[in-house]
Amino acid sequence: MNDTLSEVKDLIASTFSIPRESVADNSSGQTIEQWDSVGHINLVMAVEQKFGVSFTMDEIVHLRDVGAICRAVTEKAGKPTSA
Amino acid sequence: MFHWAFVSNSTVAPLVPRLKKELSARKLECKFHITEHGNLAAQVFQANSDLYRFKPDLTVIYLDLAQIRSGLEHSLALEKPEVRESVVAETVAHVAEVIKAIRTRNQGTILVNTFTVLPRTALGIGMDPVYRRAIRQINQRIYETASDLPQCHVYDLESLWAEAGFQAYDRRFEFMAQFPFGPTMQQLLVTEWMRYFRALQGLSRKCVVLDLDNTLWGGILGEDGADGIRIGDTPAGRPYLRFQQALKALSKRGVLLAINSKNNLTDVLPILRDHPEMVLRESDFAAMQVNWDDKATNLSRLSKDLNIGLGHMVFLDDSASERGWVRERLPEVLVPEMPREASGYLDVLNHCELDTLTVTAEDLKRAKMYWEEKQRRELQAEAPSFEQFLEKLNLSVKVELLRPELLDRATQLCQRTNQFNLTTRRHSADHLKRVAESPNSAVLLMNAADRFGDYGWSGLAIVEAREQTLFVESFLMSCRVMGKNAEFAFLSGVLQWAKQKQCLQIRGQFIPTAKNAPCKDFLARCGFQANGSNGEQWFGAEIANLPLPRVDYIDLAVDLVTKS
Repeated sequence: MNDTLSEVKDLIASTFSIPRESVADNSSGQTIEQWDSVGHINLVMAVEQKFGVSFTMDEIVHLRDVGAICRAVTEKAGKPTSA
Repeated sequence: MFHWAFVSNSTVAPLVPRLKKELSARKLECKFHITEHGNLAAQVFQANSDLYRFKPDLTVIYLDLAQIRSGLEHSLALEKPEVRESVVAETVAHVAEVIKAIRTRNQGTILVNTFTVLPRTALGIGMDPVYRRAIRQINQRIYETASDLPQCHVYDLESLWAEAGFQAYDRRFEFMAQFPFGPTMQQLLVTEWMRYFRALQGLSRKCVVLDLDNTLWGGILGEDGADGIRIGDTPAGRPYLRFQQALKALSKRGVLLAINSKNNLTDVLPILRDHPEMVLRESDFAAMQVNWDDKATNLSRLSKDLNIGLGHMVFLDDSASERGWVRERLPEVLVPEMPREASGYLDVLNHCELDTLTVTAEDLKRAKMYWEEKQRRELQAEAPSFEQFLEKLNLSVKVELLRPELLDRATQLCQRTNQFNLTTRRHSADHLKRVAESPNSAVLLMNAADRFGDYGWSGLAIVEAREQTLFVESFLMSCRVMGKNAEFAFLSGVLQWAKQKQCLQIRGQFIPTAKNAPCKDFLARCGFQANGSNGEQWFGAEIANLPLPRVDYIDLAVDLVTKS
């Protein structure tokens, strides 16, 4: 498992106070109850703080699942991805 | 369980998970209710709404100025003065309406925000002062509105922004969700609300325990000597001087100070007594542990000496290893990180959970009373016997009838006294007044003082004369005068009233509670015979033959002339 994916899943678990095991690689606002519009604000802020990145409003709207967040973080922070 | 309500015309919900984490980290169970956006009016202005049925203990209001009137930062400064004034007045009226609606329908505490003052706007230096002055005028009037209402407090967004730095203002989330608070500001808001919560719940800390070397002064006394330590108005001494000044102010406000230091007391006392630059003196410390024992043990001793739980103590020490040790051994004690340089000590005091909402006369006297008590304990330790200690104490006791200006104190004594309280009846002010006015009953109060200080009005008896018998309905004494035999002097004062009423017999009752064991033998020790039945502990005696313990060393003055 690559580092970014694991760290993003950690953040989702801690932001929403849910068990780490309940966060899957394809979790999203559809599958996690706490990931509503309020939760989204806190999650985006937590991701920005953790990775030292800043998203535009347009990007924020599209960060709706684990994969989208990982791709955006990798792109912004210049971290290499590995499959 | 404590109930938090949030009332906002905008967005406040993203702050709540952070608050919940803070509370659950401290194992504090609470319930929450959130009203946001368009729901505000329906919840706030209807008496039977979910908000009021929830019965909040604390209602946190967050009003966003933009939801009341948008764009003020660009319009206000360009308006005519009279228009500007009416905008200010209408905005204040709107806020006041919300607060007052909640105040009339809920008994809990209310917390309301002031509005954010943007540090600058597009209009620039010529216009910005006009805008700022108008918003600050609104804020000023919010303060005034709140201070006119009971249990209503203001949290100041402008100060919180100053602390967070305005880079924490997040325009993106302001535009997307009316939520401008970045993570730093979120934490400050939650911390601010927690301060009120702690103060309301009696969870604030009461005692600051201090290390000495490199904490209260610079250097190590044992090595640098009295002339070598750094304290005073020099660059190296100033951080400690200012730190001590802040501690002194806290002490005046009712926070107790104590010392926990690895040093020789014989080295330390001369500094506390005579060092010309010290701000804090021996009498500023309610207790001291100056020895070579470990600091957790010393903290436990201080907790016992002062009768203050470890959960109400803060420990400040420059040494990371001492802090670590205490944190591990006594997790209830708050042990803040200390900055590596003393210049930062002052700011640590802002985060010691010492908040109180109001300051009472009792708070202002507290440090003095603890100091007096400490001297008494020392005298007692020196005296060869308890009797000899009492003889040296020069205790004087006054017994007088209740008079109107003492009614508040008398009521407080009935409500608060637990340990030395024969019947634990919680009489109201009204009841006391009626008893005092009736010809065959009386409320007698005791005042006590000794060579170290004044205990104030600290004992109360309610008696009634019926058919030549004196019935003692209540007899109680504040714990601060316990252990000095003042109760025997007080009772002999009460007997003088009984004699005035031609009573021959006296009867009293002991009603056991979880807390009043300290006085269970009092009537027997005074020579009363137990004659109760069915578990009721009644006691009686003939007044003429009552073998009261002799307390000649107490100077007793009884004044039974009614004053009105």
